Amino acid sequence: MSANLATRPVADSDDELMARIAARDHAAMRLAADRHAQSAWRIAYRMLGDQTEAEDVAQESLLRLWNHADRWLAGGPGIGAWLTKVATNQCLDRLRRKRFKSDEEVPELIDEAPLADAQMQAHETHATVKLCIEALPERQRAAVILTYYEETPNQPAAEILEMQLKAFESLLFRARSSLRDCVERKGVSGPRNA
Amino acid sequence: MADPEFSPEIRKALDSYAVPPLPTGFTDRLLARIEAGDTATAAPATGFASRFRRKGASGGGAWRRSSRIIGSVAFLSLATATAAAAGIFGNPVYVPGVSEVLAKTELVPSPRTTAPDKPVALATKAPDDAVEAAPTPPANGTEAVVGRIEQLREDPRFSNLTPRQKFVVARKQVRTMVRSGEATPQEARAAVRELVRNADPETKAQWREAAKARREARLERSGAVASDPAAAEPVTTATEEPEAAPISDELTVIANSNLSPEKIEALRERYRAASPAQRAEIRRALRERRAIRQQRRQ
Repeated sequence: MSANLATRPVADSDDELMARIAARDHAAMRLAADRHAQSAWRIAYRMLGDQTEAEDVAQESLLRLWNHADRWLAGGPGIGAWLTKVATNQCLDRLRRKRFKSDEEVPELIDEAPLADAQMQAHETHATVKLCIEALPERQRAAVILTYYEETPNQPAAEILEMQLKAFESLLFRARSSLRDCVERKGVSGPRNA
Repeated sequence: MADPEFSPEIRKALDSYAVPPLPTGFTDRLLARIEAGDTATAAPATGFASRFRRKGASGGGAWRRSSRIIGSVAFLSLATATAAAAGIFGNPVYVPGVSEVLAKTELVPSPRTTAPDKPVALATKAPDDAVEAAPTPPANGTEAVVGRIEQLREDPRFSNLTPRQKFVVARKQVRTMVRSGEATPQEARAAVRELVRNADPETKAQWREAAKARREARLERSGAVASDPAAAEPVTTATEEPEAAPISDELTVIANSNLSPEKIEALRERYRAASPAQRAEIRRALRERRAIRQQRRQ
């Protein structure tokens, strides 16, 4: 499982890094991207299920960091947490826009290459889980991704979604129930070699 | 709230949803955009201080819409009330609270609250609705009463009434004036005395004739009742100085008889016009009469 950057303790280096970014130091921006782009990318990929859109979200989040660097308040939860919040909210925005714009499913990439048995099963499981996650309502999806995949504790995750803790826990309960039911209904077990 | 546990199989399945590595050249592309100045982003999904932006997504939208509608209606109501109180639509209308605030600012004069007009002291009308309410009387009560009576006399409908009806109408007018504070009882009595004194001899003769006729008629009705000075007097002399001596005797006499309504009315008038000592005497006589009646019943 990926490391949880969002809940990483505040490092002095984050504030220093932001001070340098505010001074328009490109090297500092590169360093910040190397450190934190991965988390934004992971969240965006799982939320949107699309590489291109996920990369857009990750880039947008980092550009926002660049643009707003002069307003950075030292001593906050850190760059990782801020990027997690920005990326999550951007994904929710995109999902909402997509919902109003079109009912079409996000096109799946079709891999034409022949697959071995194990690969086929792994692929099938991957696709099923992806479908089940995408079947969740936006905020439930975000709750599961943040807490399960990003291992964000409930309180920071609730803050990212700007919800009360109790409301978030209720949302997460429904999300996990729906996800479990969906995966079980599709008869998916873990990959054989997992 | 306990989260539903994922079974190991489901955990394995969920964990199989791996994320590919960040596309190669991601950071380079990002920095290229920055160096090119292409840092414009879409409408901010969130900023460092956009705490309230997401609230609507979980159902807060309906609340926000409702609160906007309610706020708009409240604002419009307040604006309309203020405009009305400020007199934009014409004369300023009194709006509680708003008018006071505007008056304090001294921009708009405080409008008078629309208290209902004080009811006009309408004269009690005669049974045949013969007389209209009189205009505002002068300050002096005696003059006011005299003026009112003279107005009545000038009214042709009043002239067509019988003497008895004239008396009833005039008396009601005077009583109304006394009750409404336009004249005191003393002023009313003085006014009647003045009217009697100033009456022409012909009128006085008519009064005497009328009184005589009434007395005779009453005597015929009630049989041989003793003399009835009250009934013998002219109508308008009811408020004249009463004769002190006969009152108690008269009451003693009438204690043994049934009083007609006219006699009761005449006695009532005499009682009103009597001095305190005479009134005490009348009260005593009435008590005696009551005692006699009670004895009879027993």
